[in-house]
Amino acid sequence: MYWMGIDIGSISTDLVLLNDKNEIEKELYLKTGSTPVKAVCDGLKILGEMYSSDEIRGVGITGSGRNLGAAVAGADVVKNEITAHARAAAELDSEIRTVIEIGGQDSKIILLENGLVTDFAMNTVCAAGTGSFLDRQAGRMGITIEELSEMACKADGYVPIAGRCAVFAESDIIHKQQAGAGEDELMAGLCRALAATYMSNVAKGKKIIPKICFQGGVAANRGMRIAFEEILGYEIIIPEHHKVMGAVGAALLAKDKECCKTKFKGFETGTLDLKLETKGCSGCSNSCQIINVKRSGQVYGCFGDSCGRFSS
Amino acid sequence: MLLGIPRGHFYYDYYLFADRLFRDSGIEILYGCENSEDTLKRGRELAVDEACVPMKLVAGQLDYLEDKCDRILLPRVMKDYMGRWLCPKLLGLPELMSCKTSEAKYLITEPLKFNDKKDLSKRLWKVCSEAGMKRAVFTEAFEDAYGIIADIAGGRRYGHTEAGWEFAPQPPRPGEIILPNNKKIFLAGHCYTVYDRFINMDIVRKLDEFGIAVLTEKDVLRSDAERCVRDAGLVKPPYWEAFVRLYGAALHMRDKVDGIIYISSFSCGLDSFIIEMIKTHITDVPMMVLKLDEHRGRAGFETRLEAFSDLLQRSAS
Amino acid sequence: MIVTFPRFGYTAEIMALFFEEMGIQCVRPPLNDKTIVKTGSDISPEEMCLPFKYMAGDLAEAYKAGADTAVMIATCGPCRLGEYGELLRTVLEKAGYSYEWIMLDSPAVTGIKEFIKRLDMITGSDRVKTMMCAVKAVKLIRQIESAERRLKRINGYTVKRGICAELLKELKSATISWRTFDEGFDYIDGLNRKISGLKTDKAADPVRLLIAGEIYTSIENDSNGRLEEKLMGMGCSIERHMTVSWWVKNTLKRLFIPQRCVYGNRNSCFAYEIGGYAKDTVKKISSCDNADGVIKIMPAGCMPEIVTKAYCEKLQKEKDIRILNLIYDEMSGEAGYETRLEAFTDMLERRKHVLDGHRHRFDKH
Repeated sequence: MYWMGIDIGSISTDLVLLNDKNEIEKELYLKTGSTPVKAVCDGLKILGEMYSSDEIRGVGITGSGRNLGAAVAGADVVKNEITAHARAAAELDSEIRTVIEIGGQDSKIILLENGLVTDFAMNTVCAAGTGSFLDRQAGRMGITIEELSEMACKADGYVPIAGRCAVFAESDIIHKQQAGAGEDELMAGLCRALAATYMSNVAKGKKIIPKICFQGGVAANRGMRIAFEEILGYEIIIPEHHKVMGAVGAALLAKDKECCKTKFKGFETGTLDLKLETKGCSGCSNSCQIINVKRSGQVYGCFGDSCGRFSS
Repeated sequence: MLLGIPRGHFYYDYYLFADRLFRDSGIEILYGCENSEDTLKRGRELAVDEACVPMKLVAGQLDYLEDKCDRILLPRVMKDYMGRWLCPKLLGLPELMSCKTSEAKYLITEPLKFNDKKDLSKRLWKVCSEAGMKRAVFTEAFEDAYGIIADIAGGRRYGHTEAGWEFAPQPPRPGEIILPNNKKIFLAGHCYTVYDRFINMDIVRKLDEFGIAVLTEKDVLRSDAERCVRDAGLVKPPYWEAFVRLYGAALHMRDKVDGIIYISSFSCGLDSFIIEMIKTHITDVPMMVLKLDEHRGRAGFETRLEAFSDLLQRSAS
Repeated sequence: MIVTFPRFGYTAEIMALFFEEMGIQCVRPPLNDKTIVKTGSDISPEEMCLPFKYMAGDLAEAYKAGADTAVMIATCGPCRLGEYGELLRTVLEKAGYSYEWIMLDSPAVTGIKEFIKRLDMITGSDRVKTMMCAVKAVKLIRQIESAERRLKRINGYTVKRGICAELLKELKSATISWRTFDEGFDYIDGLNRKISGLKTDKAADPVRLLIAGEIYTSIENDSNGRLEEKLMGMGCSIERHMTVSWWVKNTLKRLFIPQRCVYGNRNSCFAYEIGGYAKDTVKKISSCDNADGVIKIMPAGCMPEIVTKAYCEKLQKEKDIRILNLIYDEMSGEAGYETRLEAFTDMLERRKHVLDGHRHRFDKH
């Protein structure tokens, strides 16, 4: 018997199967691209080739596309990323007190005590302090994010870069390049700038207590780990499955719920041709945009209504 | 006793007042340092994110002064001599600095209302006596100091002059030839942005290099500003002192200068209102608004100044 | 003369009833939504605060619907609200909506004679009838809001889930359709009976939240991204600090009682009026013992609330109050707020039940 967790983020869509012992049986890490529906379907299709739908006891969905995912795949638990990440970290090690999570479009800090969230914060509107900052700079210099990570590790020291705002950071980098800064040190500087922005923007005013766990897509970047360790002065744990922690948390939440019959629609969903259709609702003054997931003209699932009269 | 006073906000407006008040008291005054990246960095860590840059700088100043003085004076000025209000963030300055002010080191005044002399003297005395001032000294010093404020408000003397000295252009180096500036602009903005070389990235020197002379509020008598606002036909009497000073000064200056540059710190609530009023009602003078934020993008700033100076120079011919 | 006024919670509907009763033609601005705030921010200065943009949008739309006289009630707190009237006139005139203005400032600023003169312009000469209507209007608002308060409080306790949100929605659409005060009073009577008849589950222990913060974003649902509806959907029992009746009471108090008496306890750290309702917000937050958490809301750049935010951060540490700060502007996307709200209620709920020795419950959504 397995529990499935799906995390639909802006950059990646992750699927995880947990077994009875809360161990990861199978993990998938797919690019979300511009079509989250397709990413979910692809994931389901791949898993469907290895497992049968009856083996799934429960499904938990998280991430910014969680409502969409729930409409497509069917879910027992639809939870926000913060609760999911906290749940996963608590399972990993109950002594973890701080979770640093940096994803593509948002970053969070979660403070835990005995596995319970005591406080949290997310980045404010702009993308400073998120992974897209590194992506953008790497793209601008024509290197991949993995190369950036490698170079940052090799560097001795770093070039200070003003990282508060991505646009200003860019002009600062150009200035430093013109001043003849070494490439490796520049990359290390970028990591350092992101970590510093995170500390002053997201983690501002939060008391950071070890053990510290660093997860999310950016945790793959070893340069970032070094930067955080230097700033915080503590050792940082990077879980083995750091990329899919959100999905793991969602699966654990589904397991916690212990429902008798899952709402999972089956792996067959992955093979269907699903389309999204948006329509306005004039039921009340909210004028919600209802999004229907359609399969050859038939409504397969829907979300977006704040009153819940279509989706439930 | 060494008493620290942060260099920000009230410093430029009430420098003369504070200077006279403490001159003969035997209390040594340490004004904060000139602002720098360091003050900004310290302040950013202490103050709430949403606070404006000048506020963050005050927080940085407090942090700077902390280990250098016995006590730190943080005045809560609520109304000016004419009974008009200051910005809400200033009214709540001690609360805004909650991260610091709970410590016993801080001397926080009760609300100071400069339109009520008796009340003001009572409240200042509380603070001054705590700092160890003698009653007789205080009474005399307060009379004098209050007279200065009254003179400025009444248009009998110019305000901000001391702040103005600080930022006057450098004297010419030997051999340097200084061409007379052929254009004049009015540099509007709160005194803590106009006179602070760090926040405004030394705009006065920049403009001087472009051959543009700078006039500020220190060149406008308060009474002239008041009169201009009175004649402007507003729906209701304004209650912000900054509005009267800046809007009034701009009205007064409109036919005496070639352009207006308004420097405003990002997310300043008063400025959003004042700028709109100036923009709407003074249309015959070219005006540029420069937003200053903590990112301090120098390149964009210089480009804009240059473009504005070009515009002024060209309009001459 | 066709009067109009910016929306402010239920006041728009009640003021319309008032004017109808007085025989003065009036136009209600359309319900606030994204298009209104778009209209408003197009003509407003960029860094102006959100309430202003809503008000500008309301008045612009009402002008298109035929209104020619704008009534503004301007209290005189030393925050931007006090200068709204002046700036609204400037901004709207620039955009081609030239209104006649009737600004009801506090008599302390305009002088009592001028105040009465302005009042007369929108009430006609029958003073007795005016007073009667005004009393009725205030009474009706108080009744609406007290019913609303009850609904929000018992949400999460009722056996039938979602019934409170439903009743609240009905109430909102009903207020629009009322034509006389009596119709309103009758409806509220009926509603109160319905509420009393709701079955509640005594053992239920929902998350109890206090919503405090800036007054306009508290009261106007659209400006806070329909915060209350969302929270009620999550099954929370909520209490809102700022209401129109609170504001009426407070404004009258300020008019008739000298400032120095209102100052109150000078020993507490936040003892002075600094504009807006900062002092009241802090007082409420620091004295809320029956809530599990506080959601503090403000429009971006609100000066008094920035100060309270700083102060509340200190409070949060000292008193172990859990506060979620939400800042709204006209560009904000919904997703980020929803995640925060969900995570916040999750956090409170899990703490509550795990600390009580219960297992986590997940039957909320």
